[in-house]
Amino acid sequence: MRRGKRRPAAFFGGPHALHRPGADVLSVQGVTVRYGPHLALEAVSFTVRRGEQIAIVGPNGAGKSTLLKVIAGVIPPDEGVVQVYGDEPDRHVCIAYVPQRSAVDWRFPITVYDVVMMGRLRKHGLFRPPRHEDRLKVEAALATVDMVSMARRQIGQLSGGQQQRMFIARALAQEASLMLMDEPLTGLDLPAQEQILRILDELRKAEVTVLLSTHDLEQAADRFDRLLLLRRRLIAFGRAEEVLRPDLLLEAYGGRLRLVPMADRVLAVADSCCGHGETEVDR
Amino acid sequence: MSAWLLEPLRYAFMQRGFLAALMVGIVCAVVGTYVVLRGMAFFGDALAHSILPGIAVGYLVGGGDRGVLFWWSLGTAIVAALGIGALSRRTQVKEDTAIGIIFAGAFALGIALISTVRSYSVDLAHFLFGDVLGVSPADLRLMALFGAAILFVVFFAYDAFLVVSFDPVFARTLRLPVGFFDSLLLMLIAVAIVVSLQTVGVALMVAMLITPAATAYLLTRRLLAMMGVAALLASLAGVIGLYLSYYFSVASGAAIVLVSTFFFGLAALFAPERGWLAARRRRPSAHT
Repeated sequence: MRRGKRRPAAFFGGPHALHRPGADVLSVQGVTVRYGPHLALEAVSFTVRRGEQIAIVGPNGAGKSTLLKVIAGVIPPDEGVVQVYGDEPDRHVCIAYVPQRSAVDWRFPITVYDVVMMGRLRKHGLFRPPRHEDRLKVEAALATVDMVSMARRQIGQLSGGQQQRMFIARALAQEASLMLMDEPLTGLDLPAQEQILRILDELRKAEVTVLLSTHDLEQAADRFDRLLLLRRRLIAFGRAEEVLRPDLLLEAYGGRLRLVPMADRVLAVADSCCGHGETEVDR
Repeated sequence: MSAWLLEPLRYAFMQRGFLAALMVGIVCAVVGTYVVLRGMAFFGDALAHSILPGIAVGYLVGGGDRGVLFWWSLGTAIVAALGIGALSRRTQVKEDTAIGIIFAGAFALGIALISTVRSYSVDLAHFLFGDVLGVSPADLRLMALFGAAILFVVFFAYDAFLVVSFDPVFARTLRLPVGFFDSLLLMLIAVAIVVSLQTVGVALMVAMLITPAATAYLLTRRLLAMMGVAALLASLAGVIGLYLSYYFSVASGAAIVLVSTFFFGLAALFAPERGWLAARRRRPSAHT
């Protein structure tokens, strides 16, 4: 992984950037990311308003994860600028990144409670133990995702939906105002998906801005304010009816999407969720 | 029975041996917990072997003086740890291949250097397999000092090491200096290896790092508990190993490692959740 420029002041976190009044929650301008000779993102630009919930859709290898990581400040863009509340993302600790479930080792000797407490690390300090307030926040976060009874479990004993909710609880404990979720719904059964969508409704009330990548176009259309259709470039960004047009979908998915005409609209079924052997890298 | 247990303790060199085995066991087990969880066993093995040229130079320069040897080993270990760490981040060949080439080359250089001295077969054996019964009071003091330093760092950086090891991407969103903690961990491993050098030697070092920690991994479900159990098992293996060594004239380093390996075997079979039997019970055969 490439390494970004680090200011010495931010070595142990430093004082993190203040939110500039009037600045967009998120502004992405002309962002290009290369992995060696391969273009992962090309000149992507968009802005997001406070409290919006955005679904990022596109085929495998479209750069969804890369985009989320650039916004999280984990991957520095090769070109272009990302600003969160008017500053570079790596000066903020108010951004929560919710990883794909495959990103961690589930056999790691750690309990649900410990993972959620990680979200408080910045608040109680790197070299200090958690305070009473931190424990309260962790318990509140666990309650929001309905995981209180699982707090003492080793993380490998959780179901997929519970694993995902644990990560969301960690983001809640972090008290982030911008949450980036990398395919939290993929591979979950419908009740588990519904539970997570209900948590998103709670976040909407709290005016937390959410960017979420998903393969489910219909869910994206039903549950999110705007859709961002990505295939290395930004194909379209807007409300569902503006984005889920057959021509745009064809451009994004090529032949890997079946378009099913319905009475009032075109239903798109993405095949890419199970697609293997893609040439593009989605990381 | 008690006479049997107390008999070796009459000798000062055995007392020092027991103390050394205990300290090394605890320090290696704690650091080894991270080695196991981060899948760095091969790195640990390579690092231990890569120190040999440093030991050889220290040996040639100091004429057998233990203090000189210790500082040369420490310097080499830290340079090797950071070097291998940097190497594994950017190479043209695969990471394990690169590490393998460097470590075998360094090891060969060490052997070549030591072989220029006449009595080399005896001394080489000490470096390769350890000489816990030859530990001097001065050695013990150095081991205690650096062992305590390692535990001190782990205590203070516990949370940071936990996050960086479990979810490095998340650690970066917390704006933690992940690279710094990774390097710090490499240095801790390097120091732990140097501290343990006299007890088990370079050839069996990796066992001190990973075997007790891996055993504890099978038995626990929290990092702190894993460290505690690993330290306990390592101490026990050190003590039992030394008794075996005393009464059966087995090489001490080998005896300690064998006891440790035996513990791992027991845990692998009988661990309540992660053992082989528990796994069998959870998945009854299709016939039933």
